[in-house]
Amino acid sequence: METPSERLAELILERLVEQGLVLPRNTKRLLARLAKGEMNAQDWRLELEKATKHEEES
Amino acid sequence: MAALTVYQAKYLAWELTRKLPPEDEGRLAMAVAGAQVDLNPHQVEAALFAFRSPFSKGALLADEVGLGKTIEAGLVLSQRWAERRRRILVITPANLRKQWLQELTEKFFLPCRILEARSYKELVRQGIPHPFEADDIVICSYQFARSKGEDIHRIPWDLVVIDEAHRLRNVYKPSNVIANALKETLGDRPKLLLTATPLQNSLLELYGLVSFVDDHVFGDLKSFREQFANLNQADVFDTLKARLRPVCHRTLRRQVTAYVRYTRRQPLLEDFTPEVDEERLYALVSEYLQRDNLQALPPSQRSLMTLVLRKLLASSTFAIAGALTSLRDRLRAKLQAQEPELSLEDELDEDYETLDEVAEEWPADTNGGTSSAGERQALEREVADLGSYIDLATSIRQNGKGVALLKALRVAFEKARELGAAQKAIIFTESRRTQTYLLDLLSRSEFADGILLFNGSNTDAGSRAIYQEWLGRNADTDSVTGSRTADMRSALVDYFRDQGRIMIATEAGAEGINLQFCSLVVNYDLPWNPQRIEQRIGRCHRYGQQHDVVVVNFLNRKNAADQRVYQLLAEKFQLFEGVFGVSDEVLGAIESGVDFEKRVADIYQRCRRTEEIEAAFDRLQQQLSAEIDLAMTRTRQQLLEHFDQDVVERLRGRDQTSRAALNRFERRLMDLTRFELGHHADFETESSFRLLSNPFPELNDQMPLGLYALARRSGHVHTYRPGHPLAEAVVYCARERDLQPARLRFHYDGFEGKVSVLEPLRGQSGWLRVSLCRVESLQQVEEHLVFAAQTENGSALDGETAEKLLIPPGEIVGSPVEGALEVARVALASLTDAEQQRIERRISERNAHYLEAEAEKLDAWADDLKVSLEGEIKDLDRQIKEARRAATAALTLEEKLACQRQVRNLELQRNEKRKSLFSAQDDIDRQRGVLIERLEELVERQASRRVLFEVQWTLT
Repeated sequence: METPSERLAELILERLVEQGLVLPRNTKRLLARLAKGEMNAQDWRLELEKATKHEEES
Repeated sequence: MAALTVYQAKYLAWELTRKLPPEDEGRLAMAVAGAQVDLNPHQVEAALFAFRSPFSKGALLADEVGLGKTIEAGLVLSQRWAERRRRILVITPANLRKQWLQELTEKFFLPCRILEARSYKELVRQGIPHPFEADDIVICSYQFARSKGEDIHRIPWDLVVIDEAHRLRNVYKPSNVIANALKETLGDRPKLLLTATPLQNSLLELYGLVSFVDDHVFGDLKSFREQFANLNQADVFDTLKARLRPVCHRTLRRQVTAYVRYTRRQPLLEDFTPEVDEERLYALVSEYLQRDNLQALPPSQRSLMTLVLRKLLASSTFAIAGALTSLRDRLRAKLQAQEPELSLEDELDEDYETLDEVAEEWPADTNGGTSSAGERQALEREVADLGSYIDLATSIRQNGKGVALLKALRVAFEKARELGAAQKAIIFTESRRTQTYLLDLLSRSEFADGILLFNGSNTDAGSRAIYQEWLGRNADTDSVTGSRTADMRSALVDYFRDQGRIMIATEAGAEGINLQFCSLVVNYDLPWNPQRIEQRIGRCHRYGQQHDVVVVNFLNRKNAADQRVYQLLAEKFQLFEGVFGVSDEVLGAIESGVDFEKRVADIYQRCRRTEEIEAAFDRLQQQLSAEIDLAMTRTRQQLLEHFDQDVVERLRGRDQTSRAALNRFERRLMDLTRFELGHHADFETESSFRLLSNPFPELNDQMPLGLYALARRSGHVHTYRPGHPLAEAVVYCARERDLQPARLRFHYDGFEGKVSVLEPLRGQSGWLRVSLCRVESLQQVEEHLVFAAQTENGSALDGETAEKLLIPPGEIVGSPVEGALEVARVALASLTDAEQQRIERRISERNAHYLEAEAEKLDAWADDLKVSLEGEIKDLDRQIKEARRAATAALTLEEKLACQRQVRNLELQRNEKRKSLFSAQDDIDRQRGVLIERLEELVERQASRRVLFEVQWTLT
């Protein structure tokens, strides 16, 4: 059963993937961490930079 | 030259591009003129040494560290490339691949690419079945070369460069798998081996390396041992030295101080004390990593992953928090029977960027601890433990080392001020997360201005803004390559040089960049691999650095192991002090940097108590000392090094001749370009011009309009070099122009210099024919311009004077008088024949010299093998003597009989050997004969000649 936090995290990640700010392959991994509030500034930055690099390379 | 004619242009074009003989001083001029780097005479000397003889199978360049072996190799590669021998492979340790790529691309404009597992697979997927068969230079790691042996073997490489070649010095031992596999794979392809430490523990290593280059320099291992075991005998020593001379070349730093300015390294050590929670986190994670059974780490990669986690733990709490979260999430997924999206290696690699490189050299664990999968309780316990570590790590907002960094920066900047150096610092870290933490920390401090990041992706907002600004500023210059990665790196380096103050870099990101304008290197975390540290410091402490370089390190005084590692790196490897950086002897003592890193990691993993740690490091230190064989160091000095004074004088001569050759080449190129471009260009100086319109519209996209300057002149223009499409087109036009006989008038007064041999010819006229003579021998082609000239009254001019006629400005004044040329041609033809004969004789004498040297080498090789066979007989003689003595000493009849039987058996063996010795010796002679026959075939010459132009000249 999905919790409200998980549902919200799912929606947020969908938007982030759409915007090219998170790599689709990482959403599953990030979902639980986002729902539990375990993402810190360094994590976000790393995810964002990876996604941007991927976009630029492709 | 004030004005040229198309005839003089044709002459210049051929002079610039003709294929020169191997001993010609100007042979490297084209490579040197095309290099965006100031070359030193020892580098030109080394490049000329390699493949000096056409028979050469290669060379071992063994300069001391810091003399630019990559530049030497770059010159050889450029030369090969210019000769269109372009199947070139560079094998290098994984962590130096990017540096090679950068140096060859930026300094020598050579197209190259790195081939590794991922790119190889991608190419195969795209339908390219043999990715090593490339149009550009291929760079790959040792491990990758070994794993793709079959691919590499099938390609007839024109040159294989092997960097850090001391890794191959144990090739004589069958146990050295990589070296033997590479030897087999590369066979007799021409090779260039680069190492600062060709000889460390045994003379046999030198045998190994030389045999890797050329199997016919020495016979077999046995004969080498037998002949050169006792180097105390002067003649033995001299023989070995003489046999090494054609293959090994070594220059020392003290021999080049006239050309290379060396500055010192100054260490600055900042102690720090971790906060209580940091210490607790360290202890907990350390204990976790030392557990026998861990579910989170793949058994085959246990030691590698443990190393990475330890490095992240030592880097910052932010770095380890991220890694622990990855481990926990993977275990959670395992509990839910889900497959993780990425491998652990890939996940950790996102933060610890050098992981893929370390992994390439790190052997898989054979008994990496058992993972009793399926124990749900154990998994849950581990998840819970990891969760508690993560909570602790994320609760820590400030790191003791971070505080120490601010303090150290204040001191270091002050020191830089005292030294008169720029107020710039580069801070290195191994972790992306730590990099972000440092950015936050410094942004909130007095060092907030002028910070920039440098890492593997460079996609942060600051970097992107710098990049956009740089692109705008450098539009229409060669600085913009079109590759985002390369251009971004240039943009960040330029920004750091011109405006930045602190660059926070991950070492993987900063590999290969040159920061000689910065003299503060901060190791926020310290790699255990000494070669990596050397690479970091070498970004700043390199050719062109004007100030002493301050190296800042941090030391946790509460951590016994950290202290001992630092001590080893500082005192044993001498990384942070002195003029020359890492000690060749010590670095050479270890098989590789990763090998040392592994030994250190093992101590961290095994030892729990301080006494255990101390004892383990004592042992490691002893092992290192034992591996540094001082006697062998002395032997190396005597064998491979030459008297300083001789070398210094030779280099002085080389400096003058190579400078003269370079100046001549560049002057000719600019004279020709000025003539061919005409109104299309505006020549601003002797080394630069502005292209106003394009004379070659079909090549429009390859030669943008704007300012062009010769290499090494200025960074913000197009580099005009022999390989540039514009230069190639200019030379091609002039060279291939079809020229009918003409009357030319040369104006001696219009020439600014003085050509003494021409002065007596003023007021005279005559005939000149320039021909191209092409001689093919020893699988090489050389081209000579043959000048034949005479005056109207029939006196012949020598070739040198005839050539000089083309120097003064000239003009075409009409066609030769009908019939006169036909008459003159008879004399010109015979003069040309005579000149060609002289050229061919010179070639013949030179080739005879090469052939003799090669034959001597093969004779020595054959003698070695015979020595080896005779050695076996001597060995049996000795055994027979011993058996006879034993028989005499035996007391009982049975014993005596047994000994006699043994004597008899040995005698039979010896007699058999004697009989077979002759046929074996004959066999060796046969092999030698076959090799010599092959040489003789190569020596056969083929010459052809064609007239380039004929003119009737007048000198006023």
